Amino acid sequence: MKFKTLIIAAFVALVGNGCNTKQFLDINTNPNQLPTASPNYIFTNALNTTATNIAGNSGGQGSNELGFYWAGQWTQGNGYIIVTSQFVYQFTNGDFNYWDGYYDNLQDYQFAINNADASGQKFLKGPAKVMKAMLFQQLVDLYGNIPYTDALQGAAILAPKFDDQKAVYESLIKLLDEAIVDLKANPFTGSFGTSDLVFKGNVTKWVQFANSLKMRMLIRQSKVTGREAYIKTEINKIVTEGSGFITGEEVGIGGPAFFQPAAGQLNPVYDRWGYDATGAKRALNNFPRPTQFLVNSLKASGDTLRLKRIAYATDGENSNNPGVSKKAEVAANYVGTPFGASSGYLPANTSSVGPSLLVKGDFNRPYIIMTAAEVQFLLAEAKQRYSDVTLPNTAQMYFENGIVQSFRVLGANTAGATAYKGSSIQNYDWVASTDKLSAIAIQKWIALTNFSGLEAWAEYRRTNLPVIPQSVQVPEANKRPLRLFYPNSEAGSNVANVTAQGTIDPFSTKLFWDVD
Amino acid sequence: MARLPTFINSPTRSKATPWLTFTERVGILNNSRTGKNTTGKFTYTDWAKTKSFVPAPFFRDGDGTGIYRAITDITGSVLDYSGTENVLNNEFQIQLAKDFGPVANRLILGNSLYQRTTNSIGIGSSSIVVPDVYNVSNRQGILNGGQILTQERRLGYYADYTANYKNWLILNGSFRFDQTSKFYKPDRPSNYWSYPYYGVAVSFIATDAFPAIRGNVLNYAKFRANYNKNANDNIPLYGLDLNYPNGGSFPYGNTVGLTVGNVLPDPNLRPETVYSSEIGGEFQLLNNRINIDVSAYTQNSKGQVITVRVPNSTGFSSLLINVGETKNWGYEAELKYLIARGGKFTWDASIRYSYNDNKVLDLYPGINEFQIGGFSYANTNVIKGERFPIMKTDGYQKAPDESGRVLVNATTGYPLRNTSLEQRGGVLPRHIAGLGSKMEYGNFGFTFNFEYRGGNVMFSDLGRQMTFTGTGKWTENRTPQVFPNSAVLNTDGTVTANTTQVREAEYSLWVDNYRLISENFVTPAWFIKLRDINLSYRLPQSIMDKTKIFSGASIAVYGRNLITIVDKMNYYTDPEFSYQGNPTPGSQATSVPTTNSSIGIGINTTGQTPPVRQYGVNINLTF
Repeated sequence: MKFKTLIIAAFVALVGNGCNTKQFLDINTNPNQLPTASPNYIFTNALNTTATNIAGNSGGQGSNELGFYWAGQWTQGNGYIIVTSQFVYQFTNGDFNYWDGYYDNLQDYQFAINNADASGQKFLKGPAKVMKAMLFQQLVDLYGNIPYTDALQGAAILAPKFDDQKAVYESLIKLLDEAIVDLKANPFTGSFGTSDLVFKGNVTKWVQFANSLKMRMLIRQSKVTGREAYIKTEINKIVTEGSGFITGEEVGIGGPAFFQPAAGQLNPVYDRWGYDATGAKRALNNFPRPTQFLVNSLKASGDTLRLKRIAYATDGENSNNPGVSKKAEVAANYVGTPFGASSGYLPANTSSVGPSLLVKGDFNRPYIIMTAAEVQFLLAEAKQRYSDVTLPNTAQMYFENGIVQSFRVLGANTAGATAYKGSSIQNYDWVASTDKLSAIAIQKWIALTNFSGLEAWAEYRRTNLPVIPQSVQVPEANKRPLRLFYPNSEAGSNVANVTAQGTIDPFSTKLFWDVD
Repeated sequence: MARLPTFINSPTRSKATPWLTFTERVGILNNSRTGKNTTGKFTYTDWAKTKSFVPAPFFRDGDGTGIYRAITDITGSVLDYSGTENVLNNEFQIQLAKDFGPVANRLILGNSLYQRTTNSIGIGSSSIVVPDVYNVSNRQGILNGGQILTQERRLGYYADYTANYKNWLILNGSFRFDQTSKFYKPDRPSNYWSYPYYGVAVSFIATDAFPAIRGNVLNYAKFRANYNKNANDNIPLYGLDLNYPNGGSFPYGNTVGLTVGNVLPDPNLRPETVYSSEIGGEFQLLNNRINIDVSAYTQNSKGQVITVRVPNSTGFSSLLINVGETKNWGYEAELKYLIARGGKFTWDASIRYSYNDNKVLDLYPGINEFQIGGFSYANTNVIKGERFPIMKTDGYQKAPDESGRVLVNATTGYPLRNTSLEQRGGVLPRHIAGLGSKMEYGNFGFTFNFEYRGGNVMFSDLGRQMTFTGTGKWTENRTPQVFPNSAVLNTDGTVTANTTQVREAEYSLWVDNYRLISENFVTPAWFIKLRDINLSYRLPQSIMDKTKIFSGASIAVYGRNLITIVDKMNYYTDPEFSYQGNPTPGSQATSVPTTNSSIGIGINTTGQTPPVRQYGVNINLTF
């Protein structure tokens, strides 16, 4: 008995005092996830996340898709129940929450900006700032006033104040100026270029992209009263800077060196509407449909070369001959679906999204976030509106080159583009076009199809061109969504600041650049 | 699924002196589980994909002979997982017991040590090659998989003292000091990861203290009161760190991508403390025929660790914080009546009632409410100054004339949806009542228990789905109609009765309009259940004695949840079911719900298996 007591007493001493408590408890380091990260890895993921946020993937819809619909370029295939939020405009602050994903993505860019110096990766600052500017521009175009100066500061500012949308746009131009300085000072070093999924470390192209984004933001404000002097000054500054614009190629994320033939690692557009990793067609392949208006407009202008790249003939792609329609590729076999139609246009009888976007097996194309064609039309509009800016070419040259670039990116023979010169076709032939700005807007709308839905919707709101038909589901002729609600996630957690924005009516609360 | 638990439990006791006892107990538990999830592979025929059609006259005008044909094969999948859990528990106690005069004293001093280690591994593939062969090597594409490791440790010291005066006045005091790894970091002050707590309890048996008051009416009376401060380390494991997980789908081949985690931990996270007090009494009346038990309690929880939604514009979606203070309070009463006793036939019946309510007293600086669970259109919320969780949903736009009529679009006749979410009520039952009875006649026994719970609301996503598919009875009127009880708001602000028929009552009214108004699917969540009913027979002892093997045997027929009565508006399901998982019946009663444990309560979806009635036979043999 005595012996046993002794053993126990010894055990108590051991447990109670013998071991170091702190050492015993010091096991609270997460063995499953990293406690810190090198900014280049964060930057790589941020770029890929931007692509999926904009494109969507098999897991959900991206912001561009809504743009394609509300710009009247695409509609929904019948054979699915009509999505009322998109085609009847019955949406609430619980629909279309792109906000959360965008800010989450922006946080990654901000991390790269904040930690680049300390990690000896200064070259990340410029590219991250350019991407940050683009995403904030898209947020403004979706929501108007947004948190900018107070945003992305974590627990330091738990209720970020909203900035005026116009002021955000101005700040973004300044942010791009900063980015250009950073880019010129800090070329990518070593093998870090691989972390740049866009230009593989080519900083000159980043500067050109920054300049192109500036043009996008400046021209967007061109109808705002009293902005002319500001816009002209900024355009002349870009010309003086001298690096020029993205020309003859697209800004795309990823590509063959990045996307893998594996589930979840495909080009996001291919993943959403094309095929899965094993080559099986996605069920959503029948969902997006080029609109009747788009198809018929192209046919009416004799623009079948681009039509055949924008859409497949009815009954879709021939899986044994990827990139080619099953049916003969003649104009009669291309049938659009009226915007918002919920019956009468079954998938098998209508055209689907074409080979410029989806070709079986092409899972590793870069995901395009800005086309060269868009840049040319921006320049054309700039020169047309402000003939005294120092841009070197004439508006006509930019316009005609825009059409050529559109043919090129779609994969159509560019000789077809040149053929429009002197053709006397309204809005195709510069000389014959009665309203040059309309011609630019309409050509730009065609060129943005399949690539830049958000831009197409924003430009439609700004220019009201082309005159696209109302959704057949909507009785009011002029009711169009002009913006989104602030999402309920923000409204529920940042109550005072969201309330301070007043009542949002997405059908009448216009953005600052949407003046008519 | 297979489970292989091993237990080692070795109590060692030794008595050093008559009043001193040492107890040492080591517990080791090893648990391993393995499992497999599979999806079969299915390939559609070429005919189904390219040639199938709907024959005339069944296709709709304009559809031609076209049909929405099968386009996607099901590639099949396999997931194999296994997990091990290892728990080590050591408990050492010194028990001292000594009487001083009429006071019996008992003191326990103890030390406890706890460690839990887990390792979960899963591998799988989202595509299989040869049908019905569920092995990850039979796959196309990359191998999916992951691993989660955890370890936690806790160390506690405690003292528990009980003084018993003549068995009618009992006083108990306890004190405990815990240290936990879950709040530990080498650079955190020690009071962030160690915490004392204590409690006192007193009970007084009046009928023993003053035998004079004992009579035929009052046979027994006991009063009790206690006060406790409790503390716990309820924080998600490794919750103190901001993480940098792999970005979505990364790594892509050799390309690495990481992302900044979305849950930002407050750097000052501390363990939660709960202060509770309770008073109660127990009485036996009329020759012990009637038993009454009553109690009232309050419980204040301070600094509960909870994940709150923060604006995404901060760059993070959630913040892990100590919330201010929540309070629970209520009372309980039980009355038991012995109807027949003493003879071959005994019969008793009892009724129970309890009331529980709660309130959020304080949240977090600058935050008055946040969502904790649910959908964007119907969710549960914690709101300062309100009971929690509160259901909020979107709903109808109501006529401003307070008539209760709903507004419709003057052109289409469809009801207008109010997009902002409004409070619909609490989701936890305020009132719980029970009725039970037990009868015995010789070797036969019969028991049953009814329970009522109510005073709360629920949202059923099933309602949306059944509106969509048109299977809900509420959608049966597909004829042209004016939306019931509706009005039109004129531009001058006046309200007139609506006479416009809905544009299309066959489909669009229901699927595009009614379905999206979540208020339609919020119903009172009260229910009455026959929780269990049991008829048993015990074999006579004389037979048992003859077997020489068994010392007792009984057989019982039982049924559970045989009757469930719910509100007439509740077409959907058992209100005790929520998307958080199916609770064991009655389990919500066993502990006071917290903002963490009640996230999904009140919201059910099509993801839950429907409630079942259970019948069974129990055979009990005692050796």
